[in-house]
Amino acid sequence: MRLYCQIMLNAVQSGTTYRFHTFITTANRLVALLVQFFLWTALYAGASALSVPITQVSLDEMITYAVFSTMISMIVANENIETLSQKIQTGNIVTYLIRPIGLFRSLLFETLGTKAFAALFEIIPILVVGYLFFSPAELPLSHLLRFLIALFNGFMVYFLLTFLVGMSSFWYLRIFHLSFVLTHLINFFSGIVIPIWFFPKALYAVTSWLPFDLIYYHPLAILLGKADESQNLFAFAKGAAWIAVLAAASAIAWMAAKRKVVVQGG
Amino acid sequence: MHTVKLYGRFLIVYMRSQLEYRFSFFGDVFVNMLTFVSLYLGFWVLFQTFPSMDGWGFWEVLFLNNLNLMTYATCSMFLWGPMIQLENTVRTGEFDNFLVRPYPPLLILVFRQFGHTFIGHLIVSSCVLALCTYQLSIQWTVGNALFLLFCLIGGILIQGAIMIAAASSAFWVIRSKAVLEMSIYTVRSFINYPISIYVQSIQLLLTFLIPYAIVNYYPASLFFGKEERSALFYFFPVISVAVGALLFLLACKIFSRGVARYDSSGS
Repeated sequence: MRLYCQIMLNAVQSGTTYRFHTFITTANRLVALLVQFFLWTALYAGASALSVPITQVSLDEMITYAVFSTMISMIVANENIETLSQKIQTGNIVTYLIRPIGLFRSLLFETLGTKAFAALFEIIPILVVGYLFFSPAELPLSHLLRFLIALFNGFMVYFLLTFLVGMSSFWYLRIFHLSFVLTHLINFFSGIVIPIWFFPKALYAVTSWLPFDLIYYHPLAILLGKADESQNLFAFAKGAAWIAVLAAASAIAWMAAKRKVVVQGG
Repeated sequence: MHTVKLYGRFLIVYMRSQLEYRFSFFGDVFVNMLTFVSLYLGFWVLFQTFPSMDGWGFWEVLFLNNLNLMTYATCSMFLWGPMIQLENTVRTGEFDNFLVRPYPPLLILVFRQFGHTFIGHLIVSSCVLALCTYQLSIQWTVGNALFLLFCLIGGILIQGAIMIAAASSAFWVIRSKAVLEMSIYTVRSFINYPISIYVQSIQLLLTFLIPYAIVNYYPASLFFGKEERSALFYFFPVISVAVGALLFLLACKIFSRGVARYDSSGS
């Protein structure tokens, strides 16, 4: 346990040294939030001018969605792809082979460590700004526990997806191809900006089997009280199933990779 | 003329080295097409529910975005690579190499590489332009075609100017890459939508300070007659090119100011 705490502490410390990076990321996310605020305001104004009712959700709720989507993007963010591809291409990955804990757990606790730092300097500022300027809707706190479970699922799904893409560096050198594809799948299918409830039926059906909406859409739908019992159950079951599949794939990838590593010289 | 010939030579060498790895070459192009496919699909979903975006329809918004994409991709083919690497080039002192060549450093920087990945953007934007033409039944009269051509030239110059100016900060600050990325990704994301959706201060900022609005919002709204098709319609392309040329010269000036300030990395 002390070992894990130390890894987390190291990550917190390295976070404090990259203050500039933190500042830039937070600024970028605030601008993105600002753009979304004006976008939804304009879309809702356009709908009411033509008296088209938007039944699923109100403007206030949509803005809340945007604020908390920004928050989730900070919580789930990790550096798996950069770290892994860099370590694999330079050969530094071998240092993980001589550590007393595995590669996966090292990365996981490093990421969790950066979250402690992010909570103070990224997440709280975003929520403060969000509440001061955009006046989001009141949230029913009764869903908090379910929201946290969904958030955990989303975190793990994203962590595993990025881990897999990072691991593919062992076989495929132009890693940015795969990381681009993943980013764009997430941008469209996860509900990061456009909630799945606006999707046409056929597309909705496809999306509901993919893992991506577990990251943003499900936690947010629960938080806003838009998911009923059966949808919740489906989301949790789907989350568990995808995490199991992705974790198994990760374990296999790491096993296959270990056979591929050739340590030169020394 | 000599410059064009020289660039041709550089380009052939670059393409040969890239096509050595044919699979990655086409992978690069394909992957970059996805950027805008995901954005455009997002618009399509939004317009399934919402009837309009501040008076703009789906195809009009695509046309608006396309002006941004075409100009960005064209200038990025030449500038994106060298500019994104400028921070590193300056910090490591590798920039020395460009000062001892018998050619302006900015040109050598640009000549050395070519952004073949942006071919993907151009493929997408050409297809979308054709689709918009069909869907909005745009008549390509001489007036319309010339209007678009000049606005594109102006847009390319403006995007290029912003890129060069932002990257030139490498000569003054350490983390210049963040400044560049913020200018070309974060700030540019404002013009994914018609700027009339923003408060006035943001509109003014995008018109006068970082004039991204001249790249797509003003040309598109004049083109679709969002405002009365007056003399401004014929006058605007000239303004666009003039502003673009002026900013581009200014950006080159900033770059050479930076070069004059450059004092290698020691050791």
